[in-house]
Amino acid sequence: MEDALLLGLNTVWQIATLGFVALGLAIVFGLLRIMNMAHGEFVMIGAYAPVITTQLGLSPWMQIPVCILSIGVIAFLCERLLIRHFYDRIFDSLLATWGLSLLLRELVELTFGRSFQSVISPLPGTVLFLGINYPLYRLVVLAGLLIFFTVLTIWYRQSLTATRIKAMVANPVLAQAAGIKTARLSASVFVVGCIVSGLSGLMLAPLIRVEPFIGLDYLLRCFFVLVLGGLGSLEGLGIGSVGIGGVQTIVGTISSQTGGYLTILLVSIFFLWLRPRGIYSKN
Amino acid sequence: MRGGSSPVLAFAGLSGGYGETIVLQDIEGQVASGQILGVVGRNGVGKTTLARLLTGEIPVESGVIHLKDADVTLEGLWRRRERGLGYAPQERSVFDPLTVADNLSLTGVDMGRKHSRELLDSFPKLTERMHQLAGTLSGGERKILSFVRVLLEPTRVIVLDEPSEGVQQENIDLMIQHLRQAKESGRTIVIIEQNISLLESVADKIIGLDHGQMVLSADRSELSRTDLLGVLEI
Amino acid sequence: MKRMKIIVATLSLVLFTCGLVMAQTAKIGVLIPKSGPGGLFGPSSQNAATLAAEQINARGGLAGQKIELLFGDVGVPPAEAVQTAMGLWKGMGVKAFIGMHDSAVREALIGRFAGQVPYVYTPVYEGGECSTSVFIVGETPDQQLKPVLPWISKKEKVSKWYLIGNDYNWPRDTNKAAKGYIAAAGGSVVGEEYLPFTVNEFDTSLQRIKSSGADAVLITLVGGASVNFNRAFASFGMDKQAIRLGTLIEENTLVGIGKGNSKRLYSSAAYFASLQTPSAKKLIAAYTKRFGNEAAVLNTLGQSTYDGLLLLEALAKKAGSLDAKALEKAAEGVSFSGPRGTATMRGKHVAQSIYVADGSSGTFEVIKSFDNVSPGNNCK
Repeated sequence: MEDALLLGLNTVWQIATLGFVALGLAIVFGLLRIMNMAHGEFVMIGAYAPVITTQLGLSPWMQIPVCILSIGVIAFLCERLLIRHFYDRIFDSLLATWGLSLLLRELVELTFGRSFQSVISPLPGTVLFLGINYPLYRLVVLAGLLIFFTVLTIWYRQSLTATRIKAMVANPVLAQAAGIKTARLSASVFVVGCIVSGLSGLMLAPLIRVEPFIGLDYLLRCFFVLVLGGLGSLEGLGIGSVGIGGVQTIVGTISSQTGGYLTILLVSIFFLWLRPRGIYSKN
Repeated sequence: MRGGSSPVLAFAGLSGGYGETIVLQDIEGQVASGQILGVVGRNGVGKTTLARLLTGEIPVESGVIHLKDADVTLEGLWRRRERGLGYAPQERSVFDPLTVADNLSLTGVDMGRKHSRELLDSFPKLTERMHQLAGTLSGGERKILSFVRVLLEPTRVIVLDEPSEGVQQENIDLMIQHLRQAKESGRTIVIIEQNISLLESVADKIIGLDHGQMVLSADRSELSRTDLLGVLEI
Repeated sequence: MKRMKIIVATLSLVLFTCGLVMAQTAKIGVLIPKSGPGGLFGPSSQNAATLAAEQINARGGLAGQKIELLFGDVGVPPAEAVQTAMGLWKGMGVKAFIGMHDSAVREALIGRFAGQVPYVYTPVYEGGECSTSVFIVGETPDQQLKPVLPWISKKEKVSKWYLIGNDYNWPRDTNKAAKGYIAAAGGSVVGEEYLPFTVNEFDTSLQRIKSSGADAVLITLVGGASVNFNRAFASFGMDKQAIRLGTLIEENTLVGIGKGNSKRLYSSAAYFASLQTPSAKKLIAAYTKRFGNEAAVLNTLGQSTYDGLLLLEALAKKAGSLDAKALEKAAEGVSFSGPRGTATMRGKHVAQSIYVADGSSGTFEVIKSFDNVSPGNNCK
C-alpha cells in the first residue's frame, strides 16, 4: 500500500514537473513554430539563478526575480538578433537555435566554469503526507504547480491576450489585419516561453546537479512530450506529460530504468511515424 | 475628386505580384470619404492581388498608395491597420480555432454599444453560433462573420474581398444595408466583387480588371449593367 | 662583411645552445579530457601534471633529461583519441605517455602503442590491465573495497548492501569485487542496479532501495548521475535509512551533491585534497602557490597525473632511460613517495595507501587510512 502510494506521488511529481519543464517549449515550438533546440539551455540558465543570486549577495527570495530578469534579457536579445528572422522557417530555426544552444552553454561555462554548483534546498527534509514520508520541497512545488496550471488554464481560455495569441498562431495575416501587432506579440510570447523554461530550471535546481550541460537532459524528453501530445494546446501538453512522465516512472519502477527509457523512446518513435500530429490535435 | 472632397484612399501606377511574377500592372484609383469603390473582373485577373497590395499583405512592386494624406506604399499590413484600414480577405477570412464571439472580441470593440449590437443582431445565424468555433461554420457564415468583424472595427477605410461569396441572398441584402449605413457614416470602402447587383446597389465608382490591366474606370452613374457584365465576359 | 660574420657566429651559437637544450629534454605526452563529459577534470589534471614536471625538472629531470609536457585532448571517441596520441608520439617525438581518461580510450591506445612507448595510466579503474610497458597508478576495486568494506560495515553496523552504478564495465567489475568482500564481512547484497547514462531521475531506484531494507548503498554512479542520485537520496530522508559509500565521489561531485545532502556519505580513494599528511599538505601549498586560490580543486582523478609523473620518474631512475623495454624490466618493486604516501609497484599496479573520507559536513574529512593496500592480482 505504502509502495503504491509512493509510486503514485512520484508519478504525479514526474508528470507535473515534466509538464512545467515542457511548457516553455510548448509555447515557443507549439505556438511560434520555432523548433527551439536551446530550450534546455534556458532551463539550465534558470537553474543557475540561485548561483547568480548568491554571487550578487542577494537574499534567496530574490532568486525568482533574478531568474526572470536574467532569462528575460537574454531571451529578448535572442529574439531581436536571431529568432525574429526565423518565424515560418521551422527547419532553419532548428539550426539557428542549435547554434544558440552551443553559444549559451559556452557563455555559462565561461562565466561559472564547468564544475558542479551547489544549490541548497530552501525546504529540506520530509513530512508525513497521506501516511508516507515525502520531501517537503516536492509537496510545496506540487501545490504551486497545481495553482499555476489552474490559473494558466483559465487565463488561456478567457483572457483577451490569450485569444490574440491563438488568433496570431492560427492566421498571422488576418491577425495583423485585425490590428494585432504580431511582431511584438511573438517577441513577447518567445520571451515569456523562455522565462517559463528558466523558472522550471529554478524549480529543479535544488534537486538536480547544476552544470552547463544539464539542458541536454531535458530537451529530448520535452520534445517527446510534444510529439505525443500534439502542438499548440494545453490539453496536448497535459496528455504528453502524463504519457511520457507516467510511462517512464511506472515502467521504470516495475521493470527497470532502462526499460522505462526505452519505452518512452519507442512510444515517441511510434507516434512520429504513425501519428506525427500527436494525440490531441485540433487540425 | 467628386464633390470637392479629397480622396481618403488613392493609388496610382500600382504594380505587384508574387516573387518574380507580376500579376497586376499600372492600376490607379481613388475613393473619398463616404464613397464605395467597386472592383470587378473574372476569376484570376488579379482582383485579390489588388486587395493584398492595398492592404499591405504583399509588397508593392511599383506605384504609390496614399491613405489619408500619408504615403503608405512601403508600410505593412499592421501599420496600415493602425492608420485605420480594415481588411476582410477572400480566403482564410476568420480565425478557425476561435469561437465566433472570440473572433469578434479580438477587435476590442465594446459589444454592449447599440450600434455594434444592432449590426450583430441583424444576422441571427451568427448570434445563434456565438460559442461555436469559427472553423465549423459554413463558407457563407464565415463571410458574414468576417464582414461583421471588419465593420465592427474602428476603421475609416475598409477593403472587402468577395464579401458575398457563398452568402444567401437575404443576407446579401442585409450586407447592402450595412454598407449603405457605413457610407453614410463617412467610411470609405473598396469592394472586390463578382456579384454585379451588389456593386450596382452600393458602388459609387467601378474599376474593371482583366489580365492584370485596368480595362474600365468610371463613376457608377456612367455605367450600364451591360458595361459591367461586359467586363466579366471579356 | 665583418658584421655578417658576427651575425653568423651569433646565430650558430644560438642554434648550438638550442640543440643542446633539445637534446636534454624528454617530451612527455599527457592525455587528459579537455572536452566531453570528463572535461571537468581537464584543468586539475593539467595543473597537477605541470606542477609535477616542474618539480621533477628542478631536481634533475627524468634520467637526466628535462621534461617537456605536451597535452592532448582525449575527451573524444577512442578512434580520435588514438589519432591525437599517435600525432604526439610519431609526429612530435613524445617519449612516454601519462593518461588520465576512460578505459575505452586506454584499450584503444594500448592496441596502437603495442608496448613500444611507456604509458602510465593514472585514474581509478576496474583493474585487470596487464599489457607490456603499461604502468598503472590508479586505484583498483580491490584496493578501494577490500579493507574498507569490513571496516565500514563494523563502524556503521550495516550489513544489507544495495549496489547501484552506471551501466558499463567499471561499476560492474567493482560490484563483482564488492560482493565477495560483503559476503566475507558477513553482509548480504539486497539489490543491484545498473542505469544508463541517460537516466537522471532516481525516484524509482530510491523506491527500490527503500523497500529492499538496505542499510548501506555502494555507489558507482559517475559524475552528474552521482550528484542527482545523492541529492534525491537525501531529499527523501534516505540518509537516515542507509549509509552511502562511493568509490568515485571526489571533491567536485561532493560540491554538486551539496552540504545537507551528504550526511553519512563516505568515499574511498587513494587521494583527497583534504589529506592532512605532511606530503599532501606540501602538494596543496605548492599547487596554490603555483596556480592561485581560484585554480581547479584537486581530487583523486586530477591529482593522479602528478603521481603518474612521480612513477615515471622512479621507473626512469631505476632503468636509467625512458626505453619502454627497460622500464618494463625495471618495474616490479619500484617504489616512490608522494602526496598519497608510499607506493610500490606490484604486478604493473601500485600497492598504496587508501583513505576513507566522510563527506557529511559538505567537505571531505579523512577518517581512516589503510597503508600498502595490495592492488590485487591483475595479471590473470
